Amino acid sequence: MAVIYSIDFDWLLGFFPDDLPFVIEANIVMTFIFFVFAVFFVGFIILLRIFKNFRNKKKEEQRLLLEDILNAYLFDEEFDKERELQKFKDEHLNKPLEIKIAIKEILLFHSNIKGESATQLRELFLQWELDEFCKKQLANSAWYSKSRALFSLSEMLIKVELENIKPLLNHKQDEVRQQAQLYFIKLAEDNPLEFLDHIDKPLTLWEEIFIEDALKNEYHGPMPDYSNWLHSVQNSVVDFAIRMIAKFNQFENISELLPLLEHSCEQVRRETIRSLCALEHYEVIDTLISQFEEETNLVKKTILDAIEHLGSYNDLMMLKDKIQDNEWDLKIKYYGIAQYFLPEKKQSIYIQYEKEKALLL
Amino acid sequence: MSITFDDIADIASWLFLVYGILICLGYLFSAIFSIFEIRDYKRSNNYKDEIALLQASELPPVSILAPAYNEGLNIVENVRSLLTINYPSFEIVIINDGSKDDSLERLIEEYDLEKQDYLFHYFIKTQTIRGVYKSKNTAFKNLLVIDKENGGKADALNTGINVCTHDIICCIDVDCILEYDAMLKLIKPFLNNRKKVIASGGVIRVANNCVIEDGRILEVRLPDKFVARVQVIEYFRAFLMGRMAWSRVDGLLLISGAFGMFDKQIAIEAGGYNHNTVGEDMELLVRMRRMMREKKIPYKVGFVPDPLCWTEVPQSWEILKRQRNRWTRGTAETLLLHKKMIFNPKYGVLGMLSTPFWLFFEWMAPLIEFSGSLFFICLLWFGLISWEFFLTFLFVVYSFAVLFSITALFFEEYSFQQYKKPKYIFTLIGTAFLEPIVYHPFVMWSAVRGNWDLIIGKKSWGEMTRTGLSKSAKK
Repeated sequence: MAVIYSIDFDWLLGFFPDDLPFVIEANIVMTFIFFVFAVFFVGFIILLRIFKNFRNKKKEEQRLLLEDILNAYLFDEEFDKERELQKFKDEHLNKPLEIKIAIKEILLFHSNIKGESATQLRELFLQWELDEFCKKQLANSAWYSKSRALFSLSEMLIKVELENIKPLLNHKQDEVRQQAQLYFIKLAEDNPLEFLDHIDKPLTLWEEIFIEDALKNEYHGPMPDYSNWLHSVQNSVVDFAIRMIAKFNQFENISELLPLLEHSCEQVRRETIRSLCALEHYEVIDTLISQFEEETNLVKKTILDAIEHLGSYNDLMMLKDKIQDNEWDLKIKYYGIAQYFLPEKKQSIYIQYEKEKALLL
Repeated sequence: MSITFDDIADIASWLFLVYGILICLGYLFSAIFSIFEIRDYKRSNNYKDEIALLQASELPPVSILAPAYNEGLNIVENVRSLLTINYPSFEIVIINDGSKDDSLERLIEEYDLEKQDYLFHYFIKTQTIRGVYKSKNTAFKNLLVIDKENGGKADALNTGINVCTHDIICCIDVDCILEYDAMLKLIKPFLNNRKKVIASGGVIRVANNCVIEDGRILEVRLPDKFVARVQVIEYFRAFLMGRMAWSRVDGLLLISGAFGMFDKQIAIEAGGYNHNTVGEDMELLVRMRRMMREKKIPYKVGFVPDPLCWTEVPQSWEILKRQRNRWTRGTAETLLLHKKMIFNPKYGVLGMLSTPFWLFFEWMAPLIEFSGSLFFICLLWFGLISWEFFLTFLFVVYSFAVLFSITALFFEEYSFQQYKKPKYIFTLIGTAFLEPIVYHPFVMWSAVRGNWDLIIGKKSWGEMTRTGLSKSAKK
């Protein structure tokens, strides 16, 4: 407001009669300001459209040039690598936008190529000193530059001092934290989840999906023993470790999982049941039946799921009296599983449910 | 001391002025918050193809609830479009809300449905369910059709909540057009939060005149009719400026009924959709948030700035009038039901910012504007109009309204740039200049009528005749 106040609007008011009341003068000035802003934004919209079109055209041109040279570099045996690559670097990799497009294009090629060609792309990345650009971006204070740089470096498996990456595991911006986690996994030769000991915020399901994907597809060392994280202070880490034990069939860790059926965190107990179920540990059914009554609603549902997968109709029957009259979601699940076990009695089970409903309501 | 008419006129003039300044400041702040939100969102989306990864992941299964009333003409096509949704695990629940046409018969015939002995419970009280149908054809194994007594949209959605099997529900209008990755984007807030996420919503866009094929938008076009075109700008303002800003301060009170995702258990605990209000979508979210706050459970409402869903907006003034009438009643009913929250610090941002804003600048704005018009007529009658004051004030208000719309256009251009043809931008700019004169007074009058209908106890939705989006495909 001070800025507006200090601007001289006398020239504008000169078009109007003298001695106008203050309110009218203020209205004239405000109308003028709003219209100027509106015109400014219209101009800005048009300029933005022109700028975006120009930038997209430039991007497309650069992308096509890169596509040609990358194809020649990878697949043309007569391609003069030394000379042509240097020429391209001198002519087309000078501005930040050109470099960013080059990084993006190489990453795109890299994601579709494996083996020798992927190594060649990595060499090219280094030869064009794109790694240096990424490292500079990593040192940049903007979070989006950091996360993009981390992504590029991890995709191209370029090592940076881990001491520089470690603090980023607990960066305030989610995207940076996530890229730092993935960097650790992709570049690890062993123990890819060592970083889990250093995080100070719980993992989200989103992060877990990406970590699992990186472990499956980008990490090539020995698979870690996930039981190492079953006693982490972060329940989300425990939860993730339990799930991974099942995903990677670590049957040897079943004995480590069993005590977690009494964990204080509901989500951990549910995940333990699911994992034991996935590992087909039939012996757990008796324990689950005995614990059923003391459990929360969500865990009870998970127990019913486990009985459907590992148990029998007799096991299910043992829970019938343990379901409270008002636990209708559990009753529906119970009768649904009963129908699964006895498909030939589907209709009579349905009638039984309807009778129970009529009795209780 | 006696108070003259002049004194009253003076006081009223100043009150109108203060109100005008406050509303302008409110819009200004929402614009500032929105631009930061859009910028951050754009910056966070430059990595690996997340969608491909999510398609392959074990995402939580979702029940998609779509109420249908007399949709026989398009129901088969609409369901087919829903069945092609890009998501790893989902069930489609169509709730036939006692349609008087042949909606159910068409579905039974087309999808080979048969009545099932289906286990369900009325967690939320609704009208009677006449039957639950599933397909004999395994190709449609994730389709469930519920036939029930007519009870309105809220009742139909509650029935869907009672019968569906998954823990996350997605409520949609059966005739809206979803982006191919809409569900994958809408689930993201549920996955990427450390707090319990109770709901998430996305940006809704205007589909009138767009080229549509097989339930997908092929080409985004601007509506031919002025009344629909203005709503394009209105939607920009509402989503790119309003909700974006509210999302940044965690003060969202509304997730569009056309496309929103909810935690089923929380929705049931809150009592489901309220069928005593015509603004059931807003009321449910407010009630869910209020409940979480009262239980002191940390939670979050997610908002995805991407355009996820395209819907047909009213093309005729008459239908627009009914829609705005209903929206006004819905807002008022929700605020009245939750009046305890307004200016109550116990509810944080909701109590101190969101509900007062909705009270003063959404519900009361048309009333104040209308009383301002009456006040003007009074002054005119008594010959007390100062034309210099009047005209200069009018220009201030007009220029601000135009500026606000142009800013919304700028936000669209900066963010998603859906209207690619340059002529569309110029047409929208022209529309922004006409809106305050041609369109706004009509919408204000509809809102005033809505308030009147609220007082006299009108509860009906008002018929929403749609032209039908499938026609656009022929273009």
